[in-house]
Amino acid sequence: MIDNFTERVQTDILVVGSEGAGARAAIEADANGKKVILSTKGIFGGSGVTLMAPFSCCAAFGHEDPRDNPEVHFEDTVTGGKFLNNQELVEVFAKESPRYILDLESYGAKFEKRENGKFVQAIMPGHRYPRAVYYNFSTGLQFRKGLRGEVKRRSIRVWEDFFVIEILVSDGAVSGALGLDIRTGKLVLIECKSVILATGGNLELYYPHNDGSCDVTGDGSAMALRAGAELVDMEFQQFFPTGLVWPPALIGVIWIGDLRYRLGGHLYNKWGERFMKRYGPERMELSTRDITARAIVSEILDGRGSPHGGVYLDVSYLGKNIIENYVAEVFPNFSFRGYSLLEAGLDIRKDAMEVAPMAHFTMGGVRINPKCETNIAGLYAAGEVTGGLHGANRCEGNALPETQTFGAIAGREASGYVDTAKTSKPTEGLIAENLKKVLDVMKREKGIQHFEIRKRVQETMWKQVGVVRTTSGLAAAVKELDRIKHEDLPRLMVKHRGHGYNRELFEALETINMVEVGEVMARSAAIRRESRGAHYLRDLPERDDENWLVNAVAKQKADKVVIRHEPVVMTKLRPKGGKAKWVDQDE
Amino acid sequence: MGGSGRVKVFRFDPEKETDPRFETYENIPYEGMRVTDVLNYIYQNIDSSLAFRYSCRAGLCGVCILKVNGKACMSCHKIAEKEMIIEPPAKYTVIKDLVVDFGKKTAKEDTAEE
Repeated sequence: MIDNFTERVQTDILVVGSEGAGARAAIEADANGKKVILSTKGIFGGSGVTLMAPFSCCAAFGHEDPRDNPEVHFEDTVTGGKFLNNQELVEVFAKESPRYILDLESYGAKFEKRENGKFVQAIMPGHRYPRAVYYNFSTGLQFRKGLRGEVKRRSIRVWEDFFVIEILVSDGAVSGALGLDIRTGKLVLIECKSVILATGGNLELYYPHNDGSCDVTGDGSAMALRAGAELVDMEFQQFFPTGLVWPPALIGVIWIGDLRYRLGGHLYNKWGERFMKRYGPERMELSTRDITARAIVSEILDGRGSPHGGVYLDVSYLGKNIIENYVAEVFPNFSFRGYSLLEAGLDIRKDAMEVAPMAHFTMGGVRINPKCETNIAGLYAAGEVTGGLHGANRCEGNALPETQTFGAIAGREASGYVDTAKTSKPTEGLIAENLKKVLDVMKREKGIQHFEIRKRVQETMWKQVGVVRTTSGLAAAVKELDRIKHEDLPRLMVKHRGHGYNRELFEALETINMVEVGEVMARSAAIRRESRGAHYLRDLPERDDENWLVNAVAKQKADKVVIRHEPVVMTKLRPKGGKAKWVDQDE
Repeated sequence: MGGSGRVKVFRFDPEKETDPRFETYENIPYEGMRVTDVLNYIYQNIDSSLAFRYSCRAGLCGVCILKVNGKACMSCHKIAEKEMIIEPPAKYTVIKDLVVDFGKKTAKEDTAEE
């Protein structure tokens, strides 16, 4: 098999992950005259989750309502994040997002506009004023169109099917990266002063309860951790409340959520009770995502779910023609982007859908400051791979602008760093040490294939580190993930030994990342002794601002990950203090 | 998941083989599954050397385009059938099995949705 490097490549900046944040970072680095490689383990414009984003991209243009401004966006974001956000990041985000959305528009992305040239802005739950710019029901595809166009116009080097395995750090600064060229099976050494991580979140740790792509396996967070960077807020994982769990061919489809948002769909348990009245009586089905998701899972756990592990989402109480006219306009032929509900045996004019939460966004990730710097010189991160901006819960529509704002900042700051930093080449010893870890997996003759390990991680995460958590469940999850890490991973083997497009090999490497990230998520959750945002402990349902306005910060020390708590960075906004019921009074 | 289908899959490893071939897999569950699920079943349970692409599983990214029984489709959209012949999409160079080099284009480059 593969014994050593067959390729060495030099560049100024390596961007890992090619979509929303990564492409934007590469554009900015290129605009600053830097030599940049934009890498993706899949296909550029065909991987990650940005392109899947259906709708809202919030930026305080104030076009729809002049009362809106970055101050209000800041407040909504911090309130929605349950005061755990790094407010320095939120300030930059709220202030800069409009500017970078205009950049994106200049690259060719389209948004809905009025005749006077102003944006059409939609109101979203958790936002005080209409703030979401969008295009039809495919805003993410506009991001892809704009970014891909600009990357091509600039002739930025894109490296597809390239899996970055490790970041190399010499004397506290980035000196390169080790990667696998999936198409050829070659191991590649990239020599560079700066790496920008833009690999997205950790949704695949929850598959099949994942509404994103299969690519988001926590690679960036895992390699950052191994390189000595800090991860923050890893206990917070957002779930989209309603994705289909039946019929099988439609599992994971979340667009039916629109029937809740816009058509006023009702949620029922198996007794036909509109149970949201017990969880979010004021907003009912339009409660924020975390409240709705845990209401649904609580119903399921209490035995009031539907036959296939969900609850019912129903629009059939509306007149048939109301549904048909709506569907004709938004989802012609009852078809959701090619998935025909009718063909699959689901007629929403008569039938209720069976739905359950789907992992949707990872709040935690690589710890950055407002310059997208990590604690390692030359290592930057942007987008969903980072933690801190969203605190304990992300507001709707705040993910897309995050990619543009922090992507641009990371690209600019990394460029400035490259100008002044001295070159440090990775030593042969460092290369050999990192190489050995990969080769050990590749060469192991006996052991377990990754499929089994991955499945154990996913089941553990969904059942015990999911929407509704318990003290004992989290303790069991920590134990199991620790066991997987120390007993199963050392036996991980790759049965197929071919070089070209070895899916088993790169999925095995992903699985290592999933285990390591999952362990930090479970441990961060187990030590937060309160409920807040997306972290809901059933046996400790109160939010405790007196003791828990802290962020969990994880860092690798020698062979183990140490997690400590630090006070939240608050620049402007403080909660009132004391304990609050988990149906949140800030909403 | 259920049923017992027969799936003929295009296989080609340019590293080792001069010509492509078809491999037939019998007794493969297919009911209520998408073509991506069927390929994953074969890859995970029968032959981990099978190369295929998918990403979004939602009919958007376009990287899972294939030919099923002669017709182009996205494997994450396509409902599996009892008898299937699965081939790589036409017009692209095969890297391995069902994985192609899209070159400068991706499958849905020119779709109306953009």
